[in-house]
Amino acid sequence: MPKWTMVIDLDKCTGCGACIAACKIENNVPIVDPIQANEGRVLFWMDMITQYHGDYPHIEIDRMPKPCFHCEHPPCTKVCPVRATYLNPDGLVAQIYHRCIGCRYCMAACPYTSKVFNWYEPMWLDGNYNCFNPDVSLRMVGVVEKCSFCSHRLLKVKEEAVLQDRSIMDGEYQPACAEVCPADAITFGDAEDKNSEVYKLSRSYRASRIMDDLGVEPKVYYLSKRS
Amino acid sequence: MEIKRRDFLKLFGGISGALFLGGCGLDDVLEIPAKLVNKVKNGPRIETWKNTICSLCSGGCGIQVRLIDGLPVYIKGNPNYPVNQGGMCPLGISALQVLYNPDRLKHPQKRIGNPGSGKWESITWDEALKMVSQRMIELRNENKAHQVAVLGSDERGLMKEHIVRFLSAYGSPNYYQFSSLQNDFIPYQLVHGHSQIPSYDFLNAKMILSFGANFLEDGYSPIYYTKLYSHHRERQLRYIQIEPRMSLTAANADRWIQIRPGTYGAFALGLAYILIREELYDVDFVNKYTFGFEDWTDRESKKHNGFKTIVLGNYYPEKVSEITGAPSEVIIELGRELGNTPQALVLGGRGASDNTNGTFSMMAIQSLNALLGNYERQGGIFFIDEPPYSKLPPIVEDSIAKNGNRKELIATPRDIAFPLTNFSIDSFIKNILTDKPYPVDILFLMKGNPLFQSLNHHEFVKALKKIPFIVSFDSFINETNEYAHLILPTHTFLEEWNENSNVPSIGFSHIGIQQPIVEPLFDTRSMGDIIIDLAKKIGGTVAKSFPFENYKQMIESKFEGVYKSGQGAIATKGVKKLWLEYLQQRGWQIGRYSSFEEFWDQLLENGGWWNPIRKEKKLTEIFKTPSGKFEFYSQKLKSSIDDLVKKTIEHDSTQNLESVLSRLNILARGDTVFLPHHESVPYEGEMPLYFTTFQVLTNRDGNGANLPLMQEMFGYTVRYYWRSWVEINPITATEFGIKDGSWVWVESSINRIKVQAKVIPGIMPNVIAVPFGLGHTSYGRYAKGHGVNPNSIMRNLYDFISGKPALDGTKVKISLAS
Ligand code: SF4
Ligand code: SF4
Ligand code: SF4
Repeated sequence: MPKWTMVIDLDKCTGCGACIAACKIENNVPIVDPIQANEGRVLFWMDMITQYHGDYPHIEIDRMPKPCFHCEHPPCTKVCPVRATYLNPDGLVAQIYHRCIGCRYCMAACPYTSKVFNWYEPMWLDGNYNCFNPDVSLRMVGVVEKCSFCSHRLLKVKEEAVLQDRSIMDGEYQPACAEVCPADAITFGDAEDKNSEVYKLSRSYRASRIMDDLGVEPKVYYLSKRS
Repeated sequence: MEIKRRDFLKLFGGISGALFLGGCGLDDVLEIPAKLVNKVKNGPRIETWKNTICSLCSGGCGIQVRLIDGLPVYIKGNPNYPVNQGGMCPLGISALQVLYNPDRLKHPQKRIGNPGSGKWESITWDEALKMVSQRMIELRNENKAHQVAVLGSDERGLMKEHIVRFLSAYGSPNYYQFSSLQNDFIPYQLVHGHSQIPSYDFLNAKMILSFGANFLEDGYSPIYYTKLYSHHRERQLRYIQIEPRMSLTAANADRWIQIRPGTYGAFALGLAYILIREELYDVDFVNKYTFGFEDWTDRESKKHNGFKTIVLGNYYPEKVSEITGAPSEVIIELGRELGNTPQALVLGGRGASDNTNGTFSMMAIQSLNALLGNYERQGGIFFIDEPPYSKLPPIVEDSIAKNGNRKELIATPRDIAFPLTNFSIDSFIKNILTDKPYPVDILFLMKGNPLFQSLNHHEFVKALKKIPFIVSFDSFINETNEYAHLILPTHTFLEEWNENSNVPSIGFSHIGIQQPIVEPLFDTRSMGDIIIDLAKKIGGTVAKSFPFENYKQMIESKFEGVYKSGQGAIATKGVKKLWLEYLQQRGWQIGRYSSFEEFWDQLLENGGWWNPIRKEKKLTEIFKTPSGKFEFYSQKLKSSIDDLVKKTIEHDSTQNLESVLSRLNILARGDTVFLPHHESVPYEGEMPLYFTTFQVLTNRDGNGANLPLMQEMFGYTVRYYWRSWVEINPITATEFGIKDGSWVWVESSINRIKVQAKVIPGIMPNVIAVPFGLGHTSYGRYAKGHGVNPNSIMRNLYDFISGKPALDGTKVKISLAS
């Protein structure tokens, strides 16, 4: 079975934020009221962590785009009382929105704070004039959501491959963030496939995973010369 | 803004498969064209993709729009377009929020209340165009054609040519642009002798030294540079960024060197000192292709100081360190690194150019490139060719037009100021207020929002109020066109034809074709078409100058030249530079199209044309200065200042060079005036902190502020959403008793703003920075009332030479707001 994996090259990422914007639009993620957003209730599936190092004037900055890590042993799915979040057959950690009762146990269980909660009625452009992505369902108030690795794109790619009686090619299934990144910092693919880009990159000397000692086996690798 | 739960459930129930437009009662929102609603409800859900060009900034990225049943739902980068190669910035990705924006103008608007009252009346296009054309005809009949002025924004290429054509045929010389690129070319013109912005061979450079050029964030084309940056990371190039605040570019550089605002020129000359002193410069290039390096004697046997003498005498490391705040070891070390790296490129940008001494600083920065012999070589500086466009038919001028075009320009400074420009927004405003040399009867505003971006808001407002008839071309109401009498609603870029060629500083000639990817949603028109319509309505020779049915036809006629030239190629997959070169050497041509129609179809399908192969140029060909060389000593600057002296002598015999220089606020004297040098910025001594601003990728020059997603992402790097902040170094914060997150007053001698503090080490102590782009008082529901406009506390200062607004020319104090 493919192991869908993301590799983010921090040496290339400039921190431009294109991945965040592309993700929000691709996945119909609502805008949050300005006051609530500043209270920490903003909804970003792909988030950006900023950290400064060193003493002035020798300052360095780390910017780290952070999606859901789609752990192989996800702690978040284990605590859900209604099985609204689960490891799906493609190895992606999914959310079933209308099953979610909003208890937010999974948010507390996620060591990477990857999940966000719809505290309010979702907000989009006024005038009822949005064109949503028809491939992604909208969420209602009171449910948890998170990065899906754009799994709706996988469905399409799989269908096509089945129709043409072949396997999925490397690079054929790309989430929105990887597709848009102007620095080519995000690589996505099957880490089981020995010929894939991610297979090579995830074995690079620069590769590491965040809080690897937890044993949750995250499927997002970061590349950096400074580790 | 909210969708109520009941409606939401209704909508959620209907989700299976169908695309839908929002939820609550689609049908009672009258503005949505019924055909659209129908499509969405009942469409077969067929997916298509169309290529076009993003025009939300000057960058010119190729984009692909995903359409479901003909309606756009997503935008991604066009992987084959050479500028951005599939990459995009957050603003471009949000472009559909421009298209579907609830604040878009849907019909021509006539103002019926006071400016800013928001009272407008919808009128028909016929009425609107008649209002404009009648007034224009009247003015022409009264021989006052020149009293029409156009204040544009970022138009380039054909659109610029189109507007100029319209004005010339009509009879007015008054076309000006208030844009972020405004007067950028002046320093280059002084040293190179022509106004083309140079391109840089980033691909082959080994080191890049940038003086305040935040090219990953607010340069001419941030995504083009981001692509290059990522390519460089694989090859471990060195990037060094010099600026007081750690911009996105500094954050990604290998080294960030802090200097005080307004001291870029001094720092560059400090490096020049090391290069000259330690003989690390390109002696051959300097001897053969530069003017004014060594001391020299002119035709009248007068001795002149050369660049070398001035630099060695004045810019030794200790002194430069005192001016800039950077330690002398850093200057020496960097100078050596620069001199010892083969193919080191030097770049100057907004930080350096947007101050009262900007022109001199940019000249100093450019002279480093001359010292390094960077012109026309691997990893150096070069100038790209214009695309092989056909010429438009000649403009037909009648006697009224000829007469009008000869009139003095309305925006030329009346007093002794800005010797090298015929446009500074400051003189434009002053001249309108004093009716000199003549009043403005009609002002056209072409998109853009100059009032929001200007430094002298009050005077600007007075000037706008004075003009009897202002016509704005725009898709939205903003701070500036609130003062218009009539707004002609334009298409968004996703609904109209345009071309986007040769973005400044990009390393190959290219043309992107911007085509409508969706039928216009509202009763709007394309700017190019409206102009043609007006010309036809005015009639006579004005109409004759536009033998085109519409703007698209003009674009096609330009492209015929490209087709016939056989140069370059349509940007398709796999057509890379090496391949093109290979074919060219063998006398092949990539584009073998059986007809123009075929070429055009291919072009629309793929999104653009490019030509990475450049005609080789000799070093003697690229400089168009009086000496035909790179001029350290600018003879152009000398002659323009001499002209000013002559002009004043006519009025008053006591005037001389001395008084001209002092009225220009130039402190240097003698030959130094015409050489790159450090001019100190007239900061107010009693204010303790330097004040600087920056643009972010999610907003750029303020135009992203009406997109909710961009407002939410405005401060994604510091976790402030929909709001402004002020960046303060921990040392400064402690000094002023400020904590991260406190609300503070930032106060200049002009005004004050209240913002939240972000205490971070990514800024020099004694410098504070506020992002530009928020603080709108108009521009729709998402823009209005969020954050502050830092320009509102800036002093009304301009570059002494070029008239570019001095955005870093203010000092401030800061205090806790209780
Ligand atoms: S789009 Fe790419 S470069 Fe930009 S922040 Fe995301 S990962 Fe980094
Ligand atoms: S990162 Fe968090 S949300 Fe994602 S799978 Fe792992 S535990 Fe679950
Ligand atoms: S940089 Fe962004 S806004 Fe500018 S043209 Fe490219 S995508 Fe559009």
